[in-house]
Amino acid sequence: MGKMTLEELRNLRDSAKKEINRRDSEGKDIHIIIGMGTCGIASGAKETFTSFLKELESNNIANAVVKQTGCMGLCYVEPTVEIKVPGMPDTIYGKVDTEVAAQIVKDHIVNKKLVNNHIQDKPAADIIK
Amino acid sequence: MHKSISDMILDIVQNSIEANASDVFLSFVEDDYRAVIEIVVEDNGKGMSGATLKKVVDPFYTDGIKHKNRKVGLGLPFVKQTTELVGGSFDIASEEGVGTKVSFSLAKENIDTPPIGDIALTLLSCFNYPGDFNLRVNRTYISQNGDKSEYAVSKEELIEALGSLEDIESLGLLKQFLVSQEKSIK
Repeated sequence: MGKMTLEELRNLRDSAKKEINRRDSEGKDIHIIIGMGTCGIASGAKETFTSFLKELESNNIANAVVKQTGCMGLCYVEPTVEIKVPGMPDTIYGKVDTEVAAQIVKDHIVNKKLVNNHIQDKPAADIIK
Repeated sequence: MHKSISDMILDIVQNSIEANASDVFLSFVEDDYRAVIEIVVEDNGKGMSGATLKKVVDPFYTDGIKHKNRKVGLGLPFVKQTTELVGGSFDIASEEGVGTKVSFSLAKENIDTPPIGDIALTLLSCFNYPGDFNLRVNRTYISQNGDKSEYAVSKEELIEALGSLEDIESLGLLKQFLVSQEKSIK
């Protein structure tokens, strides 16, 4: 592929939007919030980010939103990711490398099963306002 | 220490966003002719006083707001330490109420210079980062012969083309877009 232009990008987006409208949608979005503070960056959270993109796309999940946040105060178990799926408890996972990200998409998001051995607690006390 | 130069860039761009900048400018020049990497991150955020400016390169200094009980702020110290290790340069200028400019360079061939890392992914992260800011990126590659190729992209244009920069579909397309820009210059 040659260098993509903004026009091409816009067109791809418009045709993707039409596809989504045809699919069934519960209307509620899945939220994936990735800790991207210095601790997150240093431990590979960018790679975790791209792993989520890849896995969500290959599982045909369109109603998802990926956001970044700063450090959640769990620097010792970075990368950390908060997953909000309608019908499941909001969960913060720790040590989410690219493989664990794939596992989270498969288990938590698709099969609605918690990935027990990676669950962290809520953010550290000095972060909670 | 960050594993790649791209990681450092993400960290410094975040500083600009956290300084409430409405405009952030990132310039990334990779010069194989002079064997140097030059980066500038400039913002119109709240800026720093002279006293604060002296403290920001101290790894044990942080503004006390982001993490109330913490005593480390590592983003800028990581960059400064790395440039010193590899015979590069580091400069930070700031004016309260105006903005901040961080410029640094690294010798490409030095054995301690970190790898550049995944630029497309780093830019993807920068554009996805929450906040009401425009990010303008100028990316340049100069070959060993001195041939220059470059691209420029801005968050405003991308939002105009894609709508949101947070939903899966947009992010997938944006990643493809950024990868194709990177491929076009190298």
